[in-house]
Amino acid sequence: LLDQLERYAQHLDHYTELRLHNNHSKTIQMIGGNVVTNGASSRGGVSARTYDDGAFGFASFPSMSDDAIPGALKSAGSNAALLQRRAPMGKGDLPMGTVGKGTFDYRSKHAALTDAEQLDAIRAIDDYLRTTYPDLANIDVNLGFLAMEKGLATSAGALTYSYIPRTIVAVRLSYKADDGAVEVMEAFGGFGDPQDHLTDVASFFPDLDDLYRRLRDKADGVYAKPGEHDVIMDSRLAGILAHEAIGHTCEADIVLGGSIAGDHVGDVVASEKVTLVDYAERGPDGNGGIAIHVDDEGVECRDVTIIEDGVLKTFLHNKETAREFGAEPTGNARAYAFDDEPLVRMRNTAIAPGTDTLDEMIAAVDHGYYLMRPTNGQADSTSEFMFGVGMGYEIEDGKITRAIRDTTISGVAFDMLKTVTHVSDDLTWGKGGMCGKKQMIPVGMGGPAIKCRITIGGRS
Amino acid sequence: MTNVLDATAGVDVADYAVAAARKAGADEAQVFHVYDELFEITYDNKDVSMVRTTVDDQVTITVYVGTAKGQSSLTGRSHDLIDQAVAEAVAAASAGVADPANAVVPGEPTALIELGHREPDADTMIDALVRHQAFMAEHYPLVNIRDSTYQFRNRWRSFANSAGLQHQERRGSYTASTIFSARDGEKGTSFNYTNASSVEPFAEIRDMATLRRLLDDVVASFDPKPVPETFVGDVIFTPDSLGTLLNAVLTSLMGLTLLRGTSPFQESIGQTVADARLTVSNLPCSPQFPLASTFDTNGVPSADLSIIANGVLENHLIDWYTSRKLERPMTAGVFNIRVEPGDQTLDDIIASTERGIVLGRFSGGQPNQQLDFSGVAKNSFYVENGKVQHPINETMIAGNFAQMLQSIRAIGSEAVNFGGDAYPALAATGVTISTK
Repeated sequence: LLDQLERYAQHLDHYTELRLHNNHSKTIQMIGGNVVTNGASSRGGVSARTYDDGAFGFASFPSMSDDAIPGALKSAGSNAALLQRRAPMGKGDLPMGTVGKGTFDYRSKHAALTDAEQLDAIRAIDDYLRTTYPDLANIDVNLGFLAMEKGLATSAGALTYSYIPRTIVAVRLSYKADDGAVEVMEAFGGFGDPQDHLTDVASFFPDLDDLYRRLRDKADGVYAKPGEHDVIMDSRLAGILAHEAIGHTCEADIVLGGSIAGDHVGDVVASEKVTLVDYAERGPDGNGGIAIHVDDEGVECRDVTIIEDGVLKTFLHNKETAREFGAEPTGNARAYAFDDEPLVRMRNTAIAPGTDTLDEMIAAVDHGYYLMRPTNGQADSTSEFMFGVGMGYEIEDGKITRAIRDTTISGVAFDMLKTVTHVSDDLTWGKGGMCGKKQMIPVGMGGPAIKCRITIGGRS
Repeated sequence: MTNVLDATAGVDVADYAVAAARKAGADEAQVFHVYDELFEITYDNKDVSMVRTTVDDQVTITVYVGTAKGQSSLTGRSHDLIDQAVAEAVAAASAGVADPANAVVPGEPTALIELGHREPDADTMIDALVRHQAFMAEHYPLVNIRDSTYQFRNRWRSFANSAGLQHQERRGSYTASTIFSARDGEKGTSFNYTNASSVEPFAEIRDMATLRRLLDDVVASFDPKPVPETFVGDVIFTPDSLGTLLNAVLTSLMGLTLLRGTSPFQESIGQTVADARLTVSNLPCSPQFPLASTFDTNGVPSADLSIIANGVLENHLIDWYTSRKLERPMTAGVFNIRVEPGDQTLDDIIASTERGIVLGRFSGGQPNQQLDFSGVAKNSFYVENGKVQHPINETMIAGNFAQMLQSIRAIGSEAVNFGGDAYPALAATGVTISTK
């Protein structure tokens, strides 16, 4: 495979990326005990992207056969030539960065599970919950497996193969409270193939027991009071904060589009306790949500410290934005599917751990909230962000008290980060994490817990 | 475009896969095939930076062994690949769980339906973008466009099953999508976006859907501030933001939500669930929607449907599987939603508002099963005494979408057609609007 790619890539007139890419997936969806989805998917093909003096031409074809490569190259060249003819830009060459090479195959060393074994694992989780907690109104258990398999060669000399798997078991529980249904969700599994996570689902049961307990707490819970409060954001929320509120704002294509971060390189934008990094490979502890060593432009990936001790340092780049900024590409160009072009994307993004303990942090709050699980998030070029919160508790006099119902938190990141007073001493990565920016793509999000002030939405 | 595959052969591909599935041991089988050609141009204020052409050829095979379901999908159409996918689907079904609700849809073959062009008019598209860049430079010099696209898509959808049902359709459509924000020195605004689809190329990009109003709004959004205090007031959804409300309500009407037993509208058919001014329909057969379809992925022919008529819930949105599971009539598989317009312009609605906000975009958490919601009002404006006072930031809204349906006080007189759905403006009362 790589020999064929390299052979074609060596005989190109313009800078070109040539990618063979196949996304393998498996989905089992159990809703209320019914197997609604039970199947696999393989979506792959070849793509070529050619660059000529500012004009990109991209073409893809739905075949993994090397017969498809010449057609994709020809179409990509024609597309770039069309732009050169109709709307020439004269932007010159792209910076190549450090050319990446290597094979990064993370497929499991254990024997693959059969269809029956995978379905049995999901049914065992459903059966456990149904038997142990008969008062649940509904149980959803979903298996989502995705392995991205890519071979890439560029005319600049990059040559790489990768197989990056992720297996997520998502559990959603509903309970009928006095005033209607409430629900909680949790993800299990993470980086790896199904056989890395599904051979002992009984190990999930203690966490499922805890999830049920929190659901009952939530059923008896209260609405959070709207307004600005002291909060402890657990690692899941700190992770989505790092990704949505800071990471997106510091993607160089967003900066070119008017992000407020463009004005603040070198400025203090956060408490000195905050250092925020977009990590390459699998992160500093080897447990990041994804693995990436060479990006989809053939650039060797490196860590990017976006905020260091509270000071905004730099942005995330692909080759095109690096040319605009006079910077080096950072290995942040990623494409989700064979027919997607690489965009500036995050990888494993996290606030670096501090020195505080979670217990100390909770004890430091007189009145506020402990926010544990996000549901979704969104950010803006102004750094104003929003996260849904699906699980949390009140804190009174340094102690956790009543659970809260679903709420939303918001703030302006470059203001809110200055209110961070504590950062816990651990680093926890979320199991899942998908980012939508024209294309969906798996990302890693994690961090320590942080204490800060934030605005909570809700009903009085 | 690269076009070395026979676009019209989708039904043959589906037929082969159905036969292969039966031969491999499936009791029933259905196959959905999509052949898709995309021509896309990416642009910003200054540059038309990329032309992207893609071809997709996706086969989705569903088999039933007994009544246990298995699925497999692949890109490509060679018999070897299909045979392999069939084997995977049969293996999954053989390991599956029997469910009497699983079955293929009965029916007869239907004739090919075609809509729109087969090929993009590339020169017309590039010319339109160059004119749009010039227009923006002249009229909206402070607005930054980024990651915006103009697409033409020619999509063939084909279906066959072991009961003899066959469908095929082809739709060609143009879609323009744009993301933008404004900058004036160190002042910046939130980003906003919109998109719309049409059978014909857009004569001018600036005239698509609501873009002109959104551009006017973004340059009026410098120096935002929060609402002066927390209060309970009106939210005026624009045609762009009404989907926030509608999507949450429609999800709660879906068959899978009913199957979970958690819909607040579980037993509400025939009941008044909204103000009498609200009428919502699903119109996948309407020619007004280029992104509609004549059949769904189970092969069920599309049908228009009244969902809420003058405030009364007339139908849930129940697909083939959940109709059999719930033993309820099947009502929907393809969704193209239209909210009927009312009798007031957006300006009239604002003028009649004592206190509230015009909600340009909602950035919020996922509503819970009871449709409680909270989130940030983006691209929005504070309204008091019938006048827009100022753009807002750091302002949140919270309430309940089901209750909001009952508290509608006005519906806009123009339903904007985005190509897949058509929404007017809509105002509702009783929403908590909070500041820091």
